[in-house]
Amino acid sequence: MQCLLSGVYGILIAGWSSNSKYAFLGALRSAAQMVSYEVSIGLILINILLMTGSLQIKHIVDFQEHIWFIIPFLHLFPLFMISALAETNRPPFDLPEAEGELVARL
Amino acid sequence: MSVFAVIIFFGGWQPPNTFPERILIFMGTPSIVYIYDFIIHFDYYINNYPFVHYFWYLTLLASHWLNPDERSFLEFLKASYFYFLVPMELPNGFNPFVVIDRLLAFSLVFYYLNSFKGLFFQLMRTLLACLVVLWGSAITIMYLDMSNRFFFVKHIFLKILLSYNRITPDLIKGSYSFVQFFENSLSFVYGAPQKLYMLLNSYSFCNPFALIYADTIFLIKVNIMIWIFLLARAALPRFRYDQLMRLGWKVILPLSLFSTLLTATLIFIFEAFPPIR
Repeated sequence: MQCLLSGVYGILIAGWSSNSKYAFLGALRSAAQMVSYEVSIGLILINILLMTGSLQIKHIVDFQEHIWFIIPFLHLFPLFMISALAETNRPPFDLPEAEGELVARL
Repeated sequence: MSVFAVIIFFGGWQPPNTFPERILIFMGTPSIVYIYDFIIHFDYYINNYPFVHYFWYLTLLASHWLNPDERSFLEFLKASYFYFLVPMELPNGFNPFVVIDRLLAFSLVFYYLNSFKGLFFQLMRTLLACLVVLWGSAITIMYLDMSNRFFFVKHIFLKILLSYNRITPDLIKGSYSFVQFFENSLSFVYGAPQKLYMLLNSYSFCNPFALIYADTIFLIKVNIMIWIFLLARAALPRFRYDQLMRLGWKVILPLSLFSTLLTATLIFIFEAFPPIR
C-alpha cells in the first residue's frame, strides 16, 4: 500500500514541473483517481487479513493450502481487478496517458 | 447477475452504448488471437523456439484479419512485406544472444529432469547454466572487441529491434504515427505469451534456481491474468472522469465495504477465527 501511495507523488511532481496548467490539472485528476481507488483496494485486502489474521505473505500463502482465496472471495476478484487497473492507470482507466486520444502528448 | 444488479443499484452505472456489439468483436477475437499466439509461442517454453519462430507472422495475420478494420489489414500487408524484406532470421542464427537464449531454453529440459533426480544433477545443471552464461559472455566480448566498435549496435541490437518489431522499426503498431487505430483493439495481444516466456527466460538467466517457479500451474495462472487484462483493455472504452469517480466511490467502495462487514460477520458467527500467530 505504501508503494502504491508513493506513485501519486511522481504524477503530481510531473504535472507540476511541466509548467502547464493542463498538465497540472491532469495530474490532479490522476492523483485523485489513484487515491480514490486505494481506499477500495485497502478494503478488499482487509478481507484477506481478516481471514488469515496476519500481514505476512508467507502466512497468507500457507493459508491457501487447501483452497485458494479466489474461490471464497470470487465476488471481490472483479472489484480488485478493476481497482488495480484504475490504481495503476492502465486501460481503460488511463486518463493521464490516453495515447489514442491525445496522440501521446504526455 | 447479482453483482451487476448491486452495481446498478448503488451506482446507477449504465453500460456504454457500444457494449453489445463490442462484446462479441472485442472479447471474442482477442481470445482467439491470444490462444493462437499461445500455441505458437508455447514452443518458446518447450524449447523448440527456432523452428516455429518463423510463423510469427501468422499471429500477425490473425490479429489483423480478425480486426474489423480494413486499415489493419493494410498494415498487416505492409508489416509482412517488411518482415520478409529484412533478412534478420539467418543472421540471428549466429547472434550470440539468440544462441544463449536458445541454450537457456534447453536448460528448462534440465529442470524437468532434475525434478525427479537428486542433488548431483541439480548441481550439474547449475554448473552447465553458469558455463553457458560464461561462454556467451566470452563470445560477446570477443565480438565487441572486433575491429568495428559499433558492431553490437549495427549487427545485433538493430536486428533484435527488427525481429521483435520494437521502436523504431515498429511499422506494425506505429502508435505515434497512426493514432492507434490498431493499438486500441488487438495489437497488444500480439506476442504477449512470447513476452511472458522471455520474462521467464530472463529469470533463468539471472538465477537458474528461479526456474523452480515456472511450473505449469504458475504458467496457467499468469496466462489467465494476462488474458483478463487483455480482455478488459479490448472490450471496454476509456472511461470518462465522472464515470470513473462514480464507479470508484459509489460502486466498488460500497461493495468492498459490504464484503468486509460480511466477512467479519461470517467469521464471528461460525467462530472461524484466524489462528493466533
